[in-house]
Amino acid sequence: MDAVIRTTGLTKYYGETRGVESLDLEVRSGEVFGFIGPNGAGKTTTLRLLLDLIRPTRGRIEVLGQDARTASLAIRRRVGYLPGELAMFATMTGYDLVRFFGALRGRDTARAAGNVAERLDLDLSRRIKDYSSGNRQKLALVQAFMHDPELLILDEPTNALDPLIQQEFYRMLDEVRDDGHSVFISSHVLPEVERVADRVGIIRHGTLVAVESIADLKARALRRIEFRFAAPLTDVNPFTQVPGVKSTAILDDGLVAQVVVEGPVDAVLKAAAGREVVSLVSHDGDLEEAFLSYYQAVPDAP
Amino acid sequence: MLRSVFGKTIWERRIGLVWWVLGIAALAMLTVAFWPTLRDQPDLTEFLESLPPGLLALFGGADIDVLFTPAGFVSSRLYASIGPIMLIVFAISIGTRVVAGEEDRGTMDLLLAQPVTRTRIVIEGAAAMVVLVAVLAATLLAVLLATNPAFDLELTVTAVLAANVGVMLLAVLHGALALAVGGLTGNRAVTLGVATAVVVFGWFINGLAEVVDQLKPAQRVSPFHWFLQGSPLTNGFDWPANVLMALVATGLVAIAVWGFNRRDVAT
Repeated sequence: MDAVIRTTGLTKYYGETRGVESLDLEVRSGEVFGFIGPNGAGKTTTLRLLLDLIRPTRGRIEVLGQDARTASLAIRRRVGYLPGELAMFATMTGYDLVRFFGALRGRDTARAAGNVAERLDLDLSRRIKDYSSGNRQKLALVQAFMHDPELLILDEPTNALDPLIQQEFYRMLDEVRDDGHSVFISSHVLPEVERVADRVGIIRHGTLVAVESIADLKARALRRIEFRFAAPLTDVNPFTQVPGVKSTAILDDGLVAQVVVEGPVDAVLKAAAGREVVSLVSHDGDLEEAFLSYYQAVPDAP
Repeated sequence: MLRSVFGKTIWERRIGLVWWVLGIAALAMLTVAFWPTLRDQPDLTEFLESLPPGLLALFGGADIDVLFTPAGFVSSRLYASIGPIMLIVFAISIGTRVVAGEEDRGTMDLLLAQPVTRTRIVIEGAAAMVVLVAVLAATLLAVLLATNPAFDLELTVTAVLAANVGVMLLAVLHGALALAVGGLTGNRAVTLGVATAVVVFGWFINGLAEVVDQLKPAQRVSPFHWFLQGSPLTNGFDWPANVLMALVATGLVAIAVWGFNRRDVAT
């Protein structure tokens, strides 16, 4: 099986309101796929469609090779899901919820749940209504991971998690991928997706704008390099003709040159090599800028 | 207990149920204990006779002579007014919770992320509702059977059993209605509103039709009428009425299944 999620012409309208429009999405087996877009772009709509919580207006959805609607029960046995708008059974304890969901899955997940909870530093013995929002999010992760699903569908999973726990969560995702399982993760935080995903899909105003591998994006990412020279550059700017250079600026009476480069920086360094360089600062390729080039290509108004 | 949707629905009521049982038991005991006083108070009889017949009818005693039999008196309080209303309120609160309440709280997404079908959620919720209502009906039954000899109520065991089976079906029917509206709409406020309106309408139309002849045809649509027309506490089981209530309740659960399966889960 090559695709764990495949949607064809997936369209969802809530009455007159657009949810998603003609979405053709493919998540391959064994990959972590990041689903990026601003709030309201249609990320949660897409994820809820995959779980058969809402039904498409048009289009087809296959999850783990089966129809999302007719085979929903079989699919949900093999999928772990973390909803975006998180609400929980407030009067249960963490243990209650884990046992209840384990029973609904027909398997003993107590030990696995305990392990995940320990990694996330979550006390399962307390009542959910006494949990902070971060702890609720951790419990939601526990129930999504505890049955070792073949596919994880996670809607903004790092909401309300503190940075240390986020790092642990990223390690858990790495392990999931190492096990050959797949992850579909939505986020509006770009560095997060850069850290965990193999490929990203960018959704905006309900439409899939682009699908890229992180490696390709990184190769295309813009890098900002700042040279400080011992002697001012006089009349010539040595960087304007260098391949890959997007823009340059000469500052501080010719002592400083800022260069924005796409791709390898070797040619830029060689162009500077004839002069005495006092210092060099390189701002690493920010994927945000690579993304922004897509965003700018799309008209802003829906 | 948290092994299934059925178990969870009961688990969520485990503390509330204790209070409901105590409340129903207290109501039944106070009502029964009041009987000897009422019987021996001619003034009260006169007072009741002076009330507008419409008001008396609402509380199940349009006929003063019937009201002054033990069965008539107990029936008017425990099976025609406050008693069934309590059971109905309890049943509606559960019927609402199972689907619309779960969606209102936002927990349905998480529940449906597990491998359970929507059909199973509705059916197990309905079964739990029946069991919980049966506990209240059994409480009423137990109190009446226990106090019957001490207060000279002269009620037969069959009649008490019949009245409690009837009142339980009446409550389950309204709980199933809430389940159906919740299944169709997923909206808690709409569900409570529709269910309450049906209860109020059914109750008033049944009472008023006793004194307003023009309302007689409309009385036939009232579930209260189905339950009370045969006077089960006097005459014992009214099987056609019981079967009718059970069938309507089953139909409403079927509508809940159909309605919930065909729509988007509300957020």
